Amino acid sequence: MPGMNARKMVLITNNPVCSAKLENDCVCIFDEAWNYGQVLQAALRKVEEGYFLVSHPMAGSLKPNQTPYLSVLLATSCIYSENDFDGAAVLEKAYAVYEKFQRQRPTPKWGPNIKKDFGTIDLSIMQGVMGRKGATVL
Amino acid sequence: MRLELGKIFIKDVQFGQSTHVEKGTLYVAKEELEKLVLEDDRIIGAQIELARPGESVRITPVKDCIEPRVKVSGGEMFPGVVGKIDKVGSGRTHALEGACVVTVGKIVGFQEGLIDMSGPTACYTPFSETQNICVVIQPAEGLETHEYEEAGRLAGLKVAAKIGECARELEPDELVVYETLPFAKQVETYPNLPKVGYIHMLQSQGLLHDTFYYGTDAKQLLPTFMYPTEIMDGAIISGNCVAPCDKVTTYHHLHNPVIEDLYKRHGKDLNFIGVILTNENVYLADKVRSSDMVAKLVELFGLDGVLISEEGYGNPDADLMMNCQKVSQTGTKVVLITDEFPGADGKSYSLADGVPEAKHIVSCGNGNVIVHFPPMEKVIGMLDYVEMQIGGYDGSLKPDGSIDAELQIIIASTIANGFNHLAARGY
Repeated sequence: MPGMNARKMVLITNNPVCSAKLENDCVCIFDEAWNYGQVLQAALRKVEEGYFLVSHPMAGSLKPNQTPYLSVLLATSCIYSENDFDGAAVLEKAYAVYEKFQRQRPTPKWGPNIKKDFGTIDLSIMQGVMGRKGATVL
Repeated sequence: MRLELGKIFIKDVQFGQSTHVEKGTLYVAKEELEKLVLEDDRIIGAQIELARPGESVRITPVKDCIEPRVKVSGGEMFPGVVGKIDKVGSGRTHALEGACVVTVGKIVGFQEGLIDMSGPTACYTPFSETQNICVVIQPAEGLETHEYEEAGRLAGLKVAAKIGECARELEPDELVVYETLPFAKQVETYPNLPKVGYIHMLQSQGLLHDTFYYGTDAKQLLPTFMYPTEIMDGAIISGNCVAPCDKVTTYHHLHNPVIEDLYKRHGKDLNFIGVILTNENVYLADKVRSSDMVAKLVELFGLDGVLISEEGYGNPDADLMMNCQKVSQTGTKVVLITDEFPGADGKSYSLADGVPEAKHIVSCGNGNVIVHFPPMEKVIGMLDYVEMQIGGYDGSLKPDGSIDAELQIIIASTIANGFNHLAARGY
C-alpha cells in the first residue's frame, strides 16, 4: 500500500492526454503502449494489492474494439460497501467483454486525429468522476 | 398535469419566403434559419438542406433529431436550454408531426450516425419517414470539442423552436390529451388496477455522453419523480451520441414509446403512476446511490411493476442490472428494455452485465449485424468519416459510395426504448 500519496487516487491509463492533465491530482500509472485489455489487467493487479475501484472500467459506452484508450481510477479506500462492487469480478467481466469484441473485430489502428478525439472523450469522463463530490479518498 | 398535444400533420417540406404551413406542407425560410444558427460565433458555416422520404439521399454524420414544436401555453420549449426555465408538461403544445430538424456535421471523428432516406437500410431508422430539415454546421477553427458539441446541440434546438413557432396559431389536425393526477388522486382513480411506473435511465457519463433535464446535466441529478407529460413536452434533451443505433435523440424523448404505450393502457389494465428519472454514472459510489434511491422511490410509491430502459452499452448495463436487482428486492415486478451486441452471428453474450433477477427482458435488436448500404445520389454532410463512425470499419466505404457497416451506424436502429422495428424472440 502507498505511503505519502495514500490520499490521492491512482489513475491507470494508456491515454497520454489523461495522464498529462491529471498527473498532479492522481498518482498516474501510465503506459501508452498498453492496449485496452492491458489497462484492465493493470487495474486488476492493483485491486489484488488491496485497492478499490472508483470508476467503472467500461465507462463511456464505447465498445472495447472501438476506443484505443481506457482510464481507470482506484483508491486505497472506498465509500461504497464491498457487497455492492467486487472490483476483481467487475474487472474480470470487463476483460471478458474486451476479449469478446476483439474476437469479433480488433480495434482499428486509428490515425492521430481520431485518437485525439477518443482521448478527449476519455479525459472528459475521468474529469467528470474527479469532479463528483465525495470522489475523494477518505 | 394535463397536456393538450395538438398535432399538425406535415406531409412535405419546401423552402419558402417565410416559415409557415400550408395544406400539410411546411415551408422553411432557409436564410433566416441559417442566420439564426450563425448568431453563435462558434459556428462559422451553416447550411439548411431538405431531405424527404423516398429520396436518394444519405445524411451523415448526424448529431441530433428534434421535432419542431411550440408551447402555446404552460411554459416555453426546451426549458432551461433555449426556453426560460419553467415547468412543462401541462397547458397546450403544438407539434409539427412528420417534420424533423436534423443536425449534421463532424463533432468527433466517430459516434455520429447515418440516415438513408430510401433503399434497403431506410427501414432501420424512423428518420427516413420524416420530412427532414437538415442543419449542416461547421465549427470555428480551433474550437474545443466541448464548445462545439454545445454549439451544435443549441443550433438544432433553436432551429426546431423557431420552426415550431409557426404552429402557434394553427388549428391542429388532431388533439390528444394526456393526464396524470397527483399521486394520491391517481391511485384513488383506478384503485383496482396495478400501479405501474417507468424507470427512465439517462446517459450521463461525460462529453458526448450527457443528457439534460431542464437544462441541468443529468450527472448532477439524484433520481427524481416526474409526470410523464414533462418528458413529452421538452423537459429532457439529448447531448450525446453513445452509439448511433441506441442514441435517444431529443425527438425520442418527445416521443418516448414506453410513455405513449403506458398511456394507451392507462385506466384500462394498468394505472400509470409516473416516471422515475435516473442516470448512468461512471463514479461507482454514484451508481450505488442512484440505484438505492430508484428502489426507494419504487417502494415509496408502492409500484406493482416497472419498465426500465437504458441508453448505451457497457457501463450503463451495470446501472440497468443494479436497478433491476434492487427494485426486484422490494417485491416489484421488473421488465428491462435493451438492445444487444452479441456479434454478427448473435452467439456471444448480449450485455456486459447481468443479475439473476433480470428474468424479463425486451430486446430491441442486435447492433452488430452487418448491412449493405447502396450508393445514394446525394449526400447531406460528408462520407469522410464513415469508416471511423461506430459501426464502420476499414474498407466499409466502397469507391462507388456504397457502404458495408454494422447496423449500429444507423441512427436509432436498435434504440433501447422500442422506437424501432427490430426485436428478438426466445423460443
